[in-house]
Amino acid sequence: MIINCAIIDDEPLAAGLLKSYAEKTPFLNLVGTYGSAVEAMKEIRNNPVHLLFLDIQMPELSGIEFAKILPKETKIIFTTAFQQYAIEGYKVSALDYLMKPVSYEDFLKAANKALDWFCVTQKQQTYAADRFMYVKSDYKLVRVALDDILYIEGLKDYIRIYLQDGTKIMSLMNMKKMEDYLPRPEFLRTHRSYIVHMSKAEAIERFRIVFGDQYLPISDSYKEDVQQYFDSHTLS
Amino acid sequence: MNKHIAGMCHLAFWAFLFLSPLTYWRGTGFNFVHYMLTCMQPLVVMVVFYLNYLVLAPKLFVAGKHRYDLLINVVLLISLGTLVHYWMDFVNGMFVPGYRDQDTVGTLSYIARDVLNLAIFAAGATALALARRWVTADQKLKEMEAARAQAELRNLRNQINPHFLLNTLNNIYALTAFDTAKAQEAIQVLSKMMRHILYDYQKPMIPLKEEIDFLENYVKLMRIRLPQSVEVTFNAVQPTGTVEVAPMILISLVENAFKHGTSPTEKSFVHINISTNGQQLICDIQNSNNPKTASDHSGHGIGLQQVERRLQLAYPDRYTWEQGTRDNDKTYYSTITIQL
Repeated sequence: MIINCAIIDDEPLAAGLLKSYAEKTPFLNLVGTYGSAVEAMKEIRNNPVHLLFLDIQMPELSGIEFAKILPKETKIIFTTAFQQYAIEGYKVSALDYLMKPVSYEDFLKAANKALDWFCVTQKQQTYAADRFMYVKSDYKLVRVALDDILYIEGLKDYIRIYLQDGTKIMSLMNMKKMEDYLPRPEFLRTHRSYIVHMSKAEAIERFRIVFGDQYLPISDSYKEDVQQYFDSHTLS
Repeated sequence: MNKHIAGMCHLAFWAFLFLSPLTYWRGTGFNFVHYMLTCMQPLVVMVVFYLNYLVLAPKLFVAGKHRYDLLINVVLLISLGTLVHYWMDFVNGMFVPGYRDQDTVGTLSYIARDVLNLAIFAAGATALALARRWVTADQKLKEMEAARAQAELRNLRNQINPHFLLNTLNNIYALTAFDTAKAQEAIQVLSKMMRHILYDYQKPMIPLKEEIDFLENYVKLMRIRLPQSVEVTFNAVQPTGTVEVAPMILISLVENAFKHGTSPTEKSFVHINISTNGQQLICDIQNSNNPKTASDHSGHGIGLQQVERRLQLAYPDRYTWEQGTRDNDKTYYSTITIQL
């Protein structure tokens, strides 16, 4: 996978350094280098990039402000010389944070993080479009149609997928990864140990979801998303 | 507070002095008119005291004109002493029965006694004035020292923006990847600046040449950081003789010019001109005026306030500072003229 990226930094040398880093990173395709957010705005609006290396401290329009008006698909890696902006940076959900001076090692780490993120996103899109995935189970790859899944249970290092016809598939995989790969909000995490195919739920009670004779708990930390899903599908 | 206490002391003292004739009352029974006329004595004492305390001591004695002070006092004391003596003789003669019959042969010694009395007060007043002056001078000195120490501390922290140091280091880091020779040069310039801040700045006055070098180095390092679209000029006429200035005053202005004068997108400029003729130092800075965006909270004129304060401390009443915009708000200028 190739990631389209751009660099915004008001200091030409800093921008130049990042440019040289991006050029020697095989999975990055540098689309443009800009001296200010205002300059970059027109280009990026018409031609969205995947990834932006964005300096925070710039005159006219700061990196933080610019990040707020960017389309959601564009991921951001902030670069700055000053730690105090880190917290602000995470508020606008930056993918990573590079402290200047940036070494190539740090740069590559951040870029790899972006690559992982885009790979997961791509897989998620593929699964969602094709409606099936392969999971490893007992030294085989087993095909699982998304429409057949009722819910998924997490068991330490394994997951157990419960299908409509009553079969269960065990696979070596962690819940976080599974959650990332499955399309949202069709599949939602309702509990540390459960991911639920929301449209298959038979009933919802307070704090739990009913699948036949199974009752799955809804924990506080995931309550909001679950509630929102049901609210948007409820006649009232 | 102290003033009030001093005032009370004065008041109490004079009340005591004006009431004192009652303790050696010479008439038969109390007579108000007699008392009022007797009060001439303390009144004259009061005149002598305050004349010395407020006028003669500060204007003549402190200014080193001891002889004039003494001369005026001798004339004053003898004439007033004599006057008081004859006045009291006359008053007592009116009100004290049998006074005239008393032996007043010793008139001269009586006059001498009155003059001596007044002389003691005159000396006391002078001593008190000197003491007061000494105390206030001491206080002022302490205040000045405290202000100086504070200013120094603030300046150590703020004169060179720590951001400048970090940003410059970051740029030099980037420079090492493209142009090693230039990077080396930049490090050398930075080290010169650091030396200036760490050592030279501790002195109250430094050669103007060093200060100009410092500013020039700062400008060089800023040049590295800025895009080519920014026009930067630095012109300084090095002084011929040994001219000294208070260090680190102009740097804030230069910093300011770069901070507000440069734009990454639009054409902008910073022009710095420093000239001197030995008696006068003129620092003229012009930069393109880029209005700050609402979000740019950096600085609230604190830097400029500090410049003003440092100028006041180092060159009281010997500087002028003009600033403002011209060319339809396109250019910001700041001109400081210092009488060296």
